Parts: sequence; structure tokens; C-alpha cells
Amino acid sequence: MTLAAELEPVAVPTPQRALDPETLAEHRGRLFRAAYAMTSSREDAEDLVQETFERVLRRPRFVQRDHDLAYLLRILRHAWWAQSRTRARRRTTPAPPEELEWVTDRHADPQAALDARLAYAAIAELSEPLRNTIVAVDIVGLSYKEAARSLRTRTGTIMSRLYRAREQVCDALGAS
Amino acid sequence: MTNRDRTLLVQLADGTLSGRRREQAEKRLARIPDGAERLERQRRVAQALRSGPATPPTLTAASVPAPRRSRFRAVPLAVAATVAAVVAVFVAQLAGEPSTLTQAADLAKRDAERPAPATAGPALREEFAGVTFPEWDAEFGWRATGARSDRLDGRSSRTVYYEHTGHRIAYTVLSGPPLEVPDHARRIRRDGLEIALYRDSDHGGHDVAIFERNGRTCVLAGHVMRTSTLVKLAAWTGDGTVRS
Repeated sequence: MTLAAELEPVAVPTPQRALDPETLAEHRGRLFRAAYAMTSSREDAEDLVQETFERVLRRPRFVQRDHDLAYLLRILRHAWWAQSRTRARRRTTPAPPEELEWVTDRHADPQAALDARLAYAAIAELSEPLRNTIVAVDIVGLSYKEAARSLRTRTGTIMSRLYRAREQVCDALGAS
Repeated sequence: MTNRDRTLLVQLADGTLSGRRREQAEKRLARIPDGAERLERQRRVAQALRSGPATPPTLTAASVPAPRRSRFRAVPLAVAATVAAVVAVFVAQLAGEPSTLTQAADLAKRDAERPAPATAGPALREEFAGVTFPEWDAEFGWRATGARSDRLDGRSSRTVYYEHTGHRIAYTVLSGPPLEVPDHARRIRRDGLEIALYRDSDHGGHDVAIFERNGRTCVLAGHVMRTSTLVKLAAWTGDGTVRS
């Protein structure tokens, strides 16, 4: 063996642990917001979160370190794709805005609270890569690195997409 | 503006840069035309999205399926569940009727949980999954008497009950993609709306009409003198004023 080969870093498998089903409820709120941003419908979002939990609990799941939320978000996206394919075969009209109670961030100013509803509506209109990115970072709260891992892309791509997603959402806010 | 500028703007807006890297980013930002405005736009959206819809009470801890306790216990349970599911599907197929639709039709026998929604012209002030419940009293004499919400096989549903001369029907809207209608159902078309009809003989002769509004499965079920009544009610849109 050459010296270079000896010095080559060895890929150490990342330790995995079983996803604890008891912790699923902790992520309900964030997953619901993500689902609502994707579907623009309270009922569809509820169904999507429920479907996500059911998929997760079908068999034991293993995640790396504390990546539960990123993993759950990926399953939620897969469930949404599956539902979208079914839905695409049917002609539907967009659901109207629904009455939902909104939770305002304590530190947000009143304008931000008003912007939130419009922003969620605008996210539903984004292209899939931009929508997935802004949902992962701004709604679910993943770091750039976690979002990149969840969306199987590079961190730089995440930041670039996030910039463009926010620009487009801001255009929608500005037009209001 | 370069891609590097965009990533720096994102990081500055999110506050993920610190120390020397932050100073360098701010210097670079100062050289970008309308950089401050672009930064403010990024911050505005990020801040707005800290607020969001509250988690509905229906999506509470009870709605998270219970986890399995142990692998040894889970195996027989999983086998039993699979067998039960297969038997359920088999029985449902024998009956020629998907289980979710059966449950939806069965809601006609249940009690309302709350008063009838108020009237708003040709519609009620009750809307679910993009489907407006119609006001049939003025046109057909079917008066809304109550409503309820349920979860059927993981789908949310909303039901409004109507009564007319001692007869009672339930109009249920199911969330999610449309369901397949039973094979044995008779299919007709009225005013452009495809309606599947069958009689649920297991429940004392309930008539059931299944149709779609706004891509949702709607189930009209109950005792009526003639099946054509359900067809007439299902197809009515109040000259287009009842949004579907």
C-alpha cells in the first residue's frame, strides 16, 4: 500500500438510530405548515401529515443523528408526489382560501403577520425546486446543510434557490 | 449580480454569518446596486414565514397512529392486521363497495354534532375542501338541519343533514383525491355531472348517490321516495351560484 493510499481518508459510516415513533407528535406543527404551503388546503394538509405518519410507522425507520425532521419532510414530499399524480389525472380547480387560525411569531411586526397568508399562497405557485427549498428552510426550519441533504443537492444550490424563491414570494407580497 | 452575491444576501438576511465573514459580506453588499433593498426583501419573506397556520385540533396526538411496542409483539400484530385488512378488502369487494364510501354513506344514520349552517342565498355558509353546501329549502323544500365533521380512513369529511317531509339525507364531502365508485353502481349523467347510484340494501334501503365537485368525492345518502330526488339535488347548482 502506498503512503498516499494509507493517508486517504476512510469513509466512516454515519451512525444511525431508530426513529422513535413517540417523537412524531413533536413535529406535527412544522409538518402541517409545510403541507399547507404545498397544498393550500387545510384538509389536504391534514391528510398529507396523516399519510406521512402512517408511512413512517409501517416499518422501523433509521435516521442519522438528529435528522428526524429532515427525514419526515422527505417522506411528506414523497406522499405529496404520490397524491399529486393521482390528482393530476383529475381536473380540479384551486381550493379557495380557507378559514384557519394563524399563529403569529412573538417578535414579528403586524405587517409580517399580514404578509404570512399571502406568502403561503405565493409559495404554492412556485416551481417545485424553489417551493421545496423555501418550505424546508423558512417553514420547517432546517439549516442550509440539512435542507441540502433532505433535497439531495448542494448547500450552495439551496441558498441560490432560497434567494430566488424569496424574491418571487416578495413580488407577490409587493403586488398586494 | 453573481450567484455568490445571492448566497451572501441569503446568509446576511438569515443572520448565519458572523465576525469577519459578515463584515466582508456587508462590504461586498455595499457595492451591489440596490443591495440594501434586496436584503430587505429577503428578510421580509423570512420574517413573514415565521408566522403560519395553527395546527388544527383534529390533527392532535390522537391522530398519530400508535407505535408498535416491540418487534416480537409487532410481528403477530402485523400479521393479524394484514389478514384483517385482506379480509376487509375481500368482504368489501364481495359487497362491491369501497369501505370509505360505505362509512360515508353510513353517516346518514348518525346524529348531527352541531346546528345547521346559516343560509347565504342559494348556498349555506358551510364550505369544505372547496365545495359549497347548497341551500335546497327554497327550491326543493329540503331544509338543512345539522352538520358534523369526521375522519374516515384517514380522510377528513364534512356532512350536512337535510330533511323534507319526514325524510332525512346526508350530504358528505370527503377530502383528498376522488374515490373509485363501486362497480355495481348505475352511472348516469345529469347537467354534465356524472352520478353513480346504488341502493345500500344492508342499511334498510338507503339510496346513495356519488359524484364529484371540485375534484372531491361527494356522497348523498338517505331514505328518499325516488332515486331521482338524489339526482336532482346532486346536479343542482342554483344556476351556477352554488360554487363547486
